[in-house]
Amino acid sequence: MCETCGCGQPGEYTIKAPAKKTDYQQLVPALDQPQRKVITIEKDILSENNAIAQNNRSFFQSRNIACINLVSSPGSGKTSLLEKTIVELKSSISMFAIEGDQQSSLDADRIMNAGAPVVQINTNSGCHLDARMIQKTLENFKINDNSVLFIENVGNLVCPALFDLGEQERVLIMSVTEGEDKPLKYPAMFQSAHVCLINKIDLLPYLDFDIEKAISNARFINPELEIMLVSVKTGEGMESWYNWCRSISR
Amino acid sequence: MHELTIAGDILEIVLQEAKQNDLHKIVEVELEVGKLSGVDVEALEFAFKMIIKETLAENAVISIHNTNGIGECKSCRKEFEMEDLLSVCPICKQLPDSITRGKELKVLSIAAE
Repeated sequence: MCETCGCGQPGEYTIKAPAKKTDYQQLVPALDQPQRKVITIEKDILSENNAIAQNNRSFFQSRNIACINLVSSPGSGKTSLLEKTIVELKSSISMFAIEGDQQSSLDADRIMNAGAPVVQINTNSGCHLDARMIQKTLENFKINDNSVLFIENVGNLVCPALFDLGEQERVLIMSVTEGEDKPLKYPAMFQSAHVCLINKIDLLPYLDFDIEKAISNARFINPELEIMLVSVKTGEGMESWYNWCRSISR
Repeated sequence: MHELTIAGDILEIVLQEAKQNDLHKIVEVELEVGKLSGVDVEALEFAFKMIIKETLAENAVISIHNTNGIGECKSCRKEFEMEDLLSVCPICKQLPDSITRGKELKVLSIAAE
């Protein structure tokens, strides 16, 4: 019992030596450790590109502009196809073009000489066009209502597959010199396309290219693909392409 | 490669969220990159490490969930796992009619200190 105030019981308290080290870390929250904060986001990385693409798409639809995204490996014949199409159809269809390349305006020069208003986008080191580039271009490039806009993408069958530009149709060009297994090697791009032109068929006698196999590979990857066999150089098969252009321009 | 563009888009989202939440140091970025998205995980990691230099995500760890694809067979209507875009139904040997999973490209979360 406490002799001062009378609390407690006799023999209740004990005396002991202090602990060698009091573990205050357990008593007090670790004030010197940084507090980690986690923010849940769940945001689609391409959402901004897709939103701008949708804006582009709405713009085109409101003006009855048929926008075509032309994609291929480098050298398949995109620019030659465009040149020939413009020369052939400019008297009946209003056409405009946006050219995409890393460097130079060589392609835009060719399109201009063919007779269509054109703008060149240089991506410098970029490997694809994106929706923002198209949106920016449209701020100053006046395109008439009721026309066809061809966007010739950077020559590349990989990266452009991911980037919606706001187009109405995606037209993929492959040539007979690229091998019949092309669709199997680039399924993402073939799946995203609406039309596939197999170009340079004038070279078939000199190649081992199996055209039936190419068509069946393309259909395996994308059963909805509209396939046309053409030679931009000789004009063979091009009437189907011209008719397709006429149909989407209405 | 387009992974550099994608890394740039990720950084933009991260910095935007950091600004909105008044965060000063990002230590982790958690992503979902589906196996059918067309994005190479290693290339993305490399690109991301390059562009975060001198930003508030400078030393952030990037955690990537590289999710398998799931497709529905056009013939038997069964779902099957897809490692890539050429994966076929194990029973019917056909490509899927639709792909329900695997094309995701998302920033799931960020951690800050």
